[in-house]
Amino acid sequence: MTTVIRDAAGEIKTFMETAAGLVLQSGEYLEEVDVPFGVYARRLRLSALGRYGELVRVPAGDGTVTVTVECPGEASVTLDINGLVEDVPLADGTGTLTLGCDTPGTFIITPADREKFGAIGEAVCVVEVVE
Amino acid sequence: MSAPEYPASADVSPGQPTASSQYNNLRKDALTLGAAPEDARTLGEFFSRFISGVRLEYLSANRLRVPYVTTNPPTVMIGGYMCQAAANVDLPAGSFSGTAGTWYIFARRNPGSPTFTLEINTSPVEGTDQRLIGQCYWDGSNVNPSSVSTYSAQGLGLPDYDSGWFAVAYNNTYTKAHNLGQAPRLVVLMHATSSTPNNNDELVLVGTVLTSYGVSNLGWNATDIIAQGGTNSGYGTCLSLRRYSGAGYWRLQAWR
Repeated sequence: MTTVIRDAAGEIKTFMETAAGLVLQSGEYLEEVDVPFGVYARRLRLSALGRYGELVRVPAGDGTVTVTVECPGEASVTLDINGLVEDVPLADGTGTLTLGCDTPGTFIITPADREKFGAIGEAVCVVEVVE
Repeated sequence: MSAPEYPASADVSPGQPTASSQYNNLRKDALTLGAAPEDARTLGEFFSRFISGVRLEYLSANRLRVPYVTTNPPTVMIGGYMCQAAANVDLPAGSFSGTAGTWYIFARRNPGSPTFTLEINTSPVEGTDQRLIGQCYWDGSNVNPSSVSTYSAQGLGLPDYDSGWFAVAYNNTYTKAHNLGQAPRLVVLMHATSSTPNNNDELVLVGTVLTSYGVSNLGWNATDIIAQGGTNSGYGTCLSLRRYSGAGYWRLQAWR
């Protein structure tokens, strides 16, 4: 069982393995999902350089960074990349996204549909291209 | 109230008849250290839950051990019997089985022996000749070594509040009611990159997150613990020399 908290707009704010000490803020509401916590967390995972749930820093240059998208059971998933929405096709629930690293900056990749997937946990990938 | 007269009994001389009062004083000394029965528990009652020197450790291949320490031997009262180990006490191999869950660990008294053995059950209820001494988590295949806990062990015990892992993102505030009835004396916020970190995954202590600069992000009172993410997308949930993150998972633990 996974406990999900949604905000007033219906977007997923967080999900948790236990409801211990649960406190809802104004407008938030609760949803109980009959799926184990670890399985729920793996509905959408984004990784860069094999790393999930943390910032990935790469040096600026001519290279690229590949973001791996894992979304079991889906044929595609729509992601928000620095405000631009892009549909990523998936094969067997897996796809990729290529980021150019020629200039310094930060890529913030999150699910576009936040009622379905929260922009939390492993469903957020931040790649910082540094000098 | 003054201290009880102790010992209340006195030496008797050879040939001196033993009076009932002498016997009763001797009995009072033995049972309550000279105190009147209404003022004290008996020694047997007082020590009924006594335990000392018992600390469970993980032993390879899904076993557990209470190590024997000469200067502090494992000693436990079980069902009114004073039991003390004379060597390491090991849980037999193959004791765990079945689906994942918490297992409870008991010291068992065995008639005819002044020592004790270990056994486990998924129920925490003590049976005859058993004393509940700890618990651990079995994931269906292995015992999680970090889950092995001894109730009586000195040092940091199990947290009085544990939020479990929850998914987070920068720029959000997470409030948890700890239900301790008082402000916790110790609160710990951990960060993981996986929803189900295993024993080899590094957990990072979160004390600072990034807004325009690094700031402390944890507060608490007698009711709630408040953990606040920083506004920075890359460093808003963990700003540490061990890891940077603006998402991932947090877990709060608190001790009263």
